[in-house]
Amino acid sequence: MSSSLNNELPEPGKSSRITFAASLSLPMWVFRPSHETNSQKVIIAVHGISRNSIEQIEAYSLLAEKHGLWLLAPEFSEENFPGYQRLAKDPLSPRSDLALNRLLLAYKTQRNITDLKIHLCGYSGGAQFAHRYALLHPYNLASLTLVSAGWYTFPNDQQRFPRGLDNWPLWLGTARLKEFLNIPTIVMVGSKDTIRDGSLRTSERLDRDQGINRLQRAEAWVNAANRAKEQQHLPADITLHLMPKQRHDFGKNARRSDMLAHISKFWTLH
Amino acid sequence: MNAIHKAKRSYITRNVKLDNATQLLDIPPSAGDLLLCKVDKIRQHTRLEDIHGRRNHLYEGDTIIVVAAQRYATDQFCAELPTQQDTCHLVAAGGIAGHVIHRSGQVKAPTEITLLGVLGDQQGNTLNLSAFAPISKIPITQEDIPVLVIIGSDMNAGKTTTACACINGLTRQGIKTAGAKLTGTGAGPDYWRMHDAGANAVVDFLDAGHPSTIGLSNDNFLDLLQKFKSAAIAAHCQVLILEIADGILQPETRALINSSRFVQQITGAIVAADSATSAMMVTERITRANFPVYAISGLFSRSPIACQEVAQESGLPVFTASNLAKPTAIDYLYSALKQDYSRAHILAG
Repeated sequence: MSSSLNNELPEPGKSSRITFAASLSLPMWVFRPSHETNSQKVIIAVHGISRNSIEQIEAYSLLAEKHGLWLLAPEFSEENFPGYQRLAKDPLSPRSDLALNRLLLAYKTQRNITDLKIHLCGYSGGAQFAHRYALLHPYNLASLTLVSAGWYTFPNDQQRFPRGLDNWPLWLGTARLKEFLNIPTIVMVGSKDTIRDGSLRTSERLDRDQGINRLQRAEAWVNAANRAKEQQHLPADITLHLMPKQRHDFGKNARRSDMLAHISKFWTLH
Repeated sequence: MNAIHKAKRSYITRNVKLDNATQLLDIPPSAGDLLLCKVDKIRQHTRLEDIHGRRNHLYEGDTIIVVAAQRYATDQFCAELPTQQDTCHLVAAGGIAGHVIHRSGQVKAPTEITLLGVLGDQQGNTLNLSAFAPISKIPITQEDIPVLVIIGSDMNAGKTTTACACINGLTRQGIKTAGAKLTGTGAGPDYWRMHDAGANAVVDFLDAGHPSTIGLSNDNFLDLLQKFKSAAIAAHCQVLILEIADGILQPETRALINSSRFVQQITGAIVAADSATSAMMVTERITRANFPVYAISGLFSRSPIACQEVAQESGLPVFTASNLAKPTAIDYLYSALKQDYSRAHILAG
């Protein structure tokens, strides 16, 4: 069991792939900043359907270095978590949200951290995971960054789960809308992310309710989330940032747009 | 010998063939020896559990068949082996005779008994529990089985309730389940309760000939666990629910959870705790020891606010005993068990 495990945390300025024995099903890539400035915050970057966590580490390590924070990029494999974006396909499927929480517990105990807040970022399918995770586990999030999600769970009862909160499945636990709406959140999408490619979920109802492409769906979700915040007497401060001239490509969005700079600025406020 | 067969026989002798006992030996008792004792003064333990689980009332002057053993129980007695010189005490209702050296303020003084002799056979050999170990006859198999361990913060933290809720829930879902108690002091209630919960097989250290597990080494426990797994597999079970007695600071339990060889035998864990703070302490401690913690339960879960505190702090599911037995929780636990069991075997190659 232990021969293929590695729980050795990387040296400063380096990254390594780690599998904690207490979280066997969810390996991760970890980047350790050269100079840690805050051990009580961590960045978690969740991959899209390509399940490429190395790409996440490569991009976000620039921000981790700048902010002096550790960066974790979990690897939700197709084999272990086929429906990770929705947390689980059904009650008998492994839960991606609880797997992440077990991983975080192992990380915290290994580093003797008692109180940990998370900057949670997700791209595409990872953004789907991130906002659904945040609905269930809002308490330890420092911020939520959703980039280029294909579709969303809207924060209201007007649509049925998973498109909305109506009929939220009990087996997942309780959705905590009020606490979710309190999380500082930004949404980003490429201004040219308008192609209905094969990885975009489409249906008549989804197109009608959320829009026909990622750009429209991001706009619709931000509007709905801000309306929900207003109903809770919270400031409607969720912003949508369009990455100029960008299509649906994490590598290019990270390298050729202001995506990382915008996230960095957002974090300095939270 | 008539006096032996007239005596009230305790639970801990449930595997013993008493027909072999033909005489009383006037020798100092060793751990596991069967003893004939006389009840002198009834105090804390007013009843003695028999081999069928019935708790017989004790009367002064009764004779009882018990077993010499140490006991370590934070909320009752800490006892050494009885001697022929010191006062002898009934230190557990399951039938443990010892000499009390520490007593919790929560309980009365121990019931006093007199050692009349050690049970011997026709050849003058002592009758010892180690000779009556049914699971030692089950062939050790190379097959493996997923093991869900229940680890607690303290005595009376809800470990057996948690274990039995899992057994009951899994069994109701059609999953053949074995229940086992790896450490502790021989006592019937937990054993019977696992049967009542629907377990297809129940085994404990008594079935391997140990009256209690005080002083056993990690090697002893690994050997016991292997026997338990073999017994569960022989009974065609798909999951083994393994309860560890006492809290994680109890010396044998502490050594066990820090043993990487033991951790490798475990698929997943549930924490049972008596308070929100102790739940987090145990969860963090055993996570550091590399146990995958699937859920948290125990006595504290009677308080919804305490549940909320633990759920927020740990990010893990917190279940009351009744919720733990429901399909929602069982589906989650069984799927996590299957996934980690398969993953561990892939990594082990």
